[in-house]
Amino acid sequence: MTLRRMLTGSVSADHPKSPRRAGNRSLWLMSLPLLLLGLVVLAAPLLPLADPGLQDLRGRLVPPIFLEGGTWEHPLGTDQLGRDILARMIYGGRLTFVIAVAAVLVGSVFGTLLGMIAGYRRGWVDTVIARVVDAQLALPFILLAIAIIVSRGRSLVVLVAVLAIISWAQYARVIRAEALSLRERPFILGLRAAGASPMRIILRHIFPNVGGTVLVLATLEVGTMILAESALSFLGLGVVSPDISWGGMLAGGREFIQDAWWVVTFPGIAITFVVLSINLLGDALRARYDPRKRTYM
Amino acid sequence: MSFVRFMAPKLVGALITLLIALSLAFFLARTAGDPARNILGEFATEEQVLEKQIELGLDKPLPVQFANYLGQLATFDLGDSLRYSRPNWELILGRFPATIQLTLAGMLIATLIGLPLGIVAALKEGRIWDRMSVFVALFGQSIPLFWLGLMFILLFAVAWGWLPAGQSGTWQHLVLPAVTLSVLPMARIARLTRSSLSEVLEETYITSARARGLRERTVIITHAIRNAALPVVTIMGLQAGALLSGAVTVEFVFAWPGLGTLATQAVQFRDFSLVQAIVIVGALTFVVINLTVDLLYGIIDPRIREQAS
Repeated sequence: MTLRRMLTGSVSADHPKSPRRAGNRSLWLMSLPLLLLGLVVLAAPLLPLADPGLQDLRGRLVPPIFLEGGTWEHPLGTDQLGRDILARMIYGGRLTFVIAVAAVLVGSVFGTLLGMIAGYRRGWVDTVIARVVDAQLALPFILLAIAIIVSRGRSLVVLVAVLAIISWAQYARVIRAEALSLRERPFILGLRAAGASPMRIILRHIFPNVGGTVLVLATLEVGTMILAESALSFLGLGVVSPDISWGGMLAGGREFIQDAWWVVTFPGIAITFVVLSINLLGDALRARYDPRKRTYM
Repeated sequence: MSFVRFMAPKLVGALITLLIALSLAFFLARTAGDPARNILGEFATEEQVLEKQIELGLDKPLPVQFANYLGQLATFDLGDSLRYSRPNWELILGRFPATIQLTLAGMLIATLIGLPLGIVAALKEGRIWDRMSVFVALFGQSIPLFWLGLMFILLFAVAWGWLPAGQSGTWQHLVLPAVTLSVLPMARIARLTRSSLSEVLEETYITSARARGLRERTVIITHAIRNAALPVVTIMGLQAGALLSGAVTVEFVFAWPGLGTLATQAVQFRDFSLVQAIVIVGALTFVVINLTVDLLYGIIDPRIREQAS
C-alpha cells in the first residue's frame, strides 16, 4: 500500500511549459461549453419548453424531429410515458449538477481538511487517517453505496452523503502528500518556530498553497460524481421519479430500447459530453496550477 | 530471508486495511439508519419492527453487534440471506466465477489495447497520434459504462443482430459486456503508460543506450518499456476496485449472472444481509489483488526488495 502512495503521490519531472496567457485563453475556451450549458439549465423555466413531468399516454415514444413521425412539439421525441425528452434533459440537468456540486463541496471540505491535518501533524494522526483512506479506497464504491442506501432508504440527502463519502479519500490522499512536503518548507518552519498554532498554520498557510490542487481535483471530481450519480440512479438507487436526473432517465428508457433508441441515447450523450468537458477543463487547470503535472489516477 | 522481510509488513498492512474497510462498511450501513424499518417499509407497526430487529440482532447495542459481526467474519460466516434463506456464502460462491470471468476478460482487453495506445502516444509525443490516443483515453474516462453497454446492445444486438444482448453461456455472450467493462481501465492504462514511458525516455540511461549505438527498437523495448512497466503493473491492480464497481452496472445491463446482478437483486428485495456479505467479499477481493500486485512488484524489481531489507 505504501508503494501505491509513493507512486500516485510522486512528482514527475515533466517539462514545465504552458505560459500563463495561452493557458488562460484555452481555459476560457474549454469552460465555454459548460458555461453555455449551465446557462440553459439555469434558465429552464424561462425557455419555451414542455412541462417535463406532463404525461401523454397517447403520444408515447414519439421519435425525434429528424426521423419520420417526429414533430417540432417534441424535438427530441417522447419517452415511454409520453413526456418530452428535451424538457426532461434540461430540467434533469439541474438536479444532476446540484447533486454533483453538493457532493464535491462536502467531500472536498472533509477530504482536504483531513489531508492537511494528516500531512502536517504526522505521527499517529497521519497513520490513522492514511489507513482509513486506504481502506475507503479498498471498498468498491457502488457496493458501498448500495449497502448504505439499502439500510438508510433513498433520498437526495442520502445520495449526496453517499457520493461525498465515496470522494473524500481522493482529496485526503493527494492533499496529504502536498502537506507533507510543505511542512518542511522554510516559511512553515519559520511560522512554527515563531509559535503559530497548528490550526492557524494549516488554515492560513498550508491551505492557500494546496488551493490550486484542490481546485483541479474538485473540477475533475464533479465529472466523477456525475458518473457515479448516473450509475446509482440507473440502478434505481439514486434519483427516482418524480425527480429527474440523466441517470434516472436512462433507467426508465432501458426496457424500451428495442422500439425507441432515442429515449436512452440522448441523456447518455449529455452525460458523456458534460463529463468530457469537465475532464478537459480539469486537465487544462492542472497544467495551469500544477506545472509539475502530478498524476492523479 | 529478505523476501520474508519484504512480505511481512505488506501482509500486516493489508490485514489492517481489510479490517478498517470491514468496520467502515459496518458502521456506515448501521449508523446510517434502521435496516429493520427499511426492510419492512413505512407501514410496519412498531411490534413488527421490534420483532425484525430481534431477528436480525439489531436490538443489541452497537458495540455488541460489531463484536458479533467480527466474530462471524473470523469464522468465515457471512450470515444467511433474508430472501433466499440460504447461506450468503453459497449464493456468492455460485455467482463469483461469472464475475471473475467477466472482469478477467475485461482486464485482458484493456491491457491489449491500452498498453499499445500509451506506448504509441509516448513515442510520438505531441504529434497527432499522441493527441488522438490522449483524447480516446479521456473519452473512456468520461463515458458512463452502463450507457456504453446500452449503445452496444442497440448497435450490435438490436440493429445488426451480430451478438446476443444479454445473459451468458457462449463466448459471443462475453464479448459485449467484456468490451464495455474494459473501457475505463483501458483509458487509465493508456494514460499511465504514456506518462510513465515519456518520463523514462528522458532518463540519461536511455541517452547513453542510444549513444552506444544500439538500435532504437532495442532501446525502446529492453531499456525503456521494461522500466516504464512498473507503475503500470500497480495501476492494473488498482483497477480491480473500478472493475468490480463497473461490473455491477455492466452485469445489470447485460443480465450477466454475476455478483453485480446478485447485488442489484438483493437491493430490490432489501436483502440487507446479502448486500453486506457482497460488500465484504468485494473488499476482500480488492485487498487480495493489491497484495498480490505489491508482491509481484518486489519480484519484478529487485530494487524494491533491497529497500525493504
